[in-house]
Amino acid sequence: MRLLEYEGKDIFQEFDITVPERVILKNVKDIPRAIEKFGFPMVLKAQVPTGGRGKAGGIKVVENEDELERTFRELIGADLKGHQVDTLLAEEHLNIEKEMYCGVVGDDEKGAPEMIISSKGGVDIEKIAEETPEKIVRTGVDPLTGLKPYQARNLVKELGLEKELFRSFSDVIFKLYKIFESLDANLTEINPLVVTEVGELVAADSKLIIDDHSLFRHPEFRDRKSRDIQNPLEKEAEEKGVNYVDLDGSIAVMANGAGLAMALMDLISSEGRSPAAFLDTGGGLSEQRMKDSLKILLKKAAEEKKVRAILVNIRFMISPPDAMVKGFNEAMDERDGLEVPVILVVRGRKRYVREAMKLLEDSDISIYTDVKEGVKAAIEQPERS
Amino acid sequence: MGILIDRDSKVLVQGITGRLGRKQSELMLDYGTNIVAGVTPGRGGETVHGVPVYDTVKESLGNHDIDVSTIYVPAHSVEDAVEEAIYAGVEFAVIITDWVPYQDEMRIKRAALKSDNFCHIGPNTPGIAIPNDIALGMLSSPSVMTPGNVAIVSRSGSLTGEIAEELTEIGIGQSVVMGLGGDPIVGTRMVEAVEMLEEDEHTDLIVLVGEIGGTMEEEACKFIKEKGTKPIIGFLAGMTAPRQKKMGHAGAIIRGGKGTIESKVKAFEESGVEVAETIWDIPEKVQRLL
Repeated sequence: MRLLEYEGKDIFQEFDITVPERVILKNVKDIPRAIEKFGFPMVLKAQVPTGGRGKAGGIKVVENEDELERTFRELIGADLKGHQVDTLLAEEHLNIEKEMYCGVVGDDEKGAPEMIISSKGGVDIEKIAEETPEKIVRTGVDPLTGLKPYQARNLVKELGLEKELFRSFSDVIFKLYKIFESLDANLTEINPLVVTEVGELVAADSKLIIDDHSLFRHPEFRDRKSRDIQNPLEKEAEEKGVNYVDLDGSIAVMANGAGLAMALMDLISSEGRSPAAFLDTGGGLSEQRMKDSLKILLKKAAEEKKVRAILVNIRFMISPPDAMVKGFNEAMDERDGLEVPVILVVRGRKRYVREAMKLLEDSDISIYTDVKEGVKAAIEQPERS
Repeated sequence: MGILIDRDSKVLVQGITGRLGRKQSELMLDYGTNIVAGVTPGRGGETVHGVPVYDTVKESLGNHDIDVSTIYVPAHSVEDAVEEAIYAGVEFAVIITDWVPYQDEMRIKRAALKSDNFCHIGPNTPGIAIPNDIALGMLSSPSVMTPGNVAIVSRSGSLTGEIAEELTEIGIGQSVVMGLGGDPIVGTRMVEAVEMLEEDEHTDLIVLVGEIGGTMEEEACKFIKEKGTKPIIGFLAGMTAPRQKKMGHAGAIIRGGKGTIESKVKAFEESGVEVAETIWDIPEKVQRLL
């Protein structure tokens, strides 16, 4: 889950990293406070959870009140890279001497955090790494002990910055790692980390990605989990703990396992059709989860006529089928006149497969025990009238 | 016989009194797995399906020889449970639990590296099994697996079972069936599994099941290209998955051009791994190369 820029900056401030003077604008009534606080020129930044906002027109410098109001009206409600803007961040305009970079990212391969700094900033770190790798230094961190202050100092030394920045930059590195650790982040980034003309280090932007798996330790972020999901079905799925990705094809796919669901999508594509949705039911075969999952795909089919079939593959490993069947039947009972073929492939533990088939004998669901036959049945469905 | 475990392995179950631990222990015992002890703090002295329960791993080790621990404790306790196992002297752990926080996984991995003789698979794995001998985790359906000489190593839990079942249906048995886990950070990476299987006398062919995201396949292929001698069939889930979307597994996301299907297919092809386009192609390819 990605935090918005202003939320990240609030956290930076809590950890004593310098951030620009700022005011949140949601309403025209908020404007006077910003003018009073730092005046013009002022920077307006659309708060959407995506990068490349500048290029997309989401960041503007305004010189006076008229321009401010005009830009406010222009940006609020606008669509920025698929996200509707409802909040602007107004900030003091910084006199920038230099832009740098500071970030912590989890290295999956090594299974440890990596601290990365660069004397260049303001563009993607990947791009800096590609074009001017000599301007980047990095160090692995032992996740058991955390980043030590001397490691931060070594990094800055290695980058070869002017003496005035040695202490302040080391300090920012150390604090940013603390944030990474305390917030259970997957990534924390200050880009650009600005040196102002008076030599102060200021975090001009923030990027924080919080680990969804850690939310039990961070209840304060829980309500933000599904906040930025735009697609209503994806949002509903997220709230129900089901993995759903909305797609554009004709066959909606569901399985109790992400790999299995992806493999089914690939099979459908290899047979010349395309998937309308990916749904991984996630852990367990509980009645509620099965009902929620099938209902999401039925909703998708109700919204889009081009969905010809719903293809479900359930593998029984350790849970008996009773709860699953109950959930499916409830979802089917609530179809409300919707007619779309539901094709179910059941595999895995033989005893459970047999029980499931028996329990679903009289339902409207077509059952197969062979994946090939199930997929074939799904792709042969005609267009819905 | 196979890698990491064998029919005589003595098994501890951490979290044995929980709903999942209790249910899965029953199925593992049915399969013939030799579970000698369980641990749940505060529940020492009880028994679950005849297995004695202890308060601590240390206490269980004082009363039994233990070769491997299978871990079912809730996600928030996994780091603690694994470290408890490591420092008590357990040498191998299978972490079934899903939704373990990323930084906890980092700390587990580092604690494992710092210990001289500990390794683990998972988290978020269906487990590991040697057909007819032993099953740790969810791979305990007798009808799905059969003994033989094909190893299955998979990043996807559901596909682990599916592919084993497909092979079993055409009479091809497995030397070992193992899920690596669907998270970005896992204990045993694909390359380590391949290295072990290369040495395993019971394995003549390896099926690698990868998926989009991460660099595990590319990393494994470096080893295969240089030192691999056994035939390998590679399958990748998510050929048609959209970019930048998390496809169920936290590990299955393409980040900044890394972890794409193209990069993985290329790595497979350049290291002589036979690529199966769909899961349907796997049994036929196995038959042909065996």
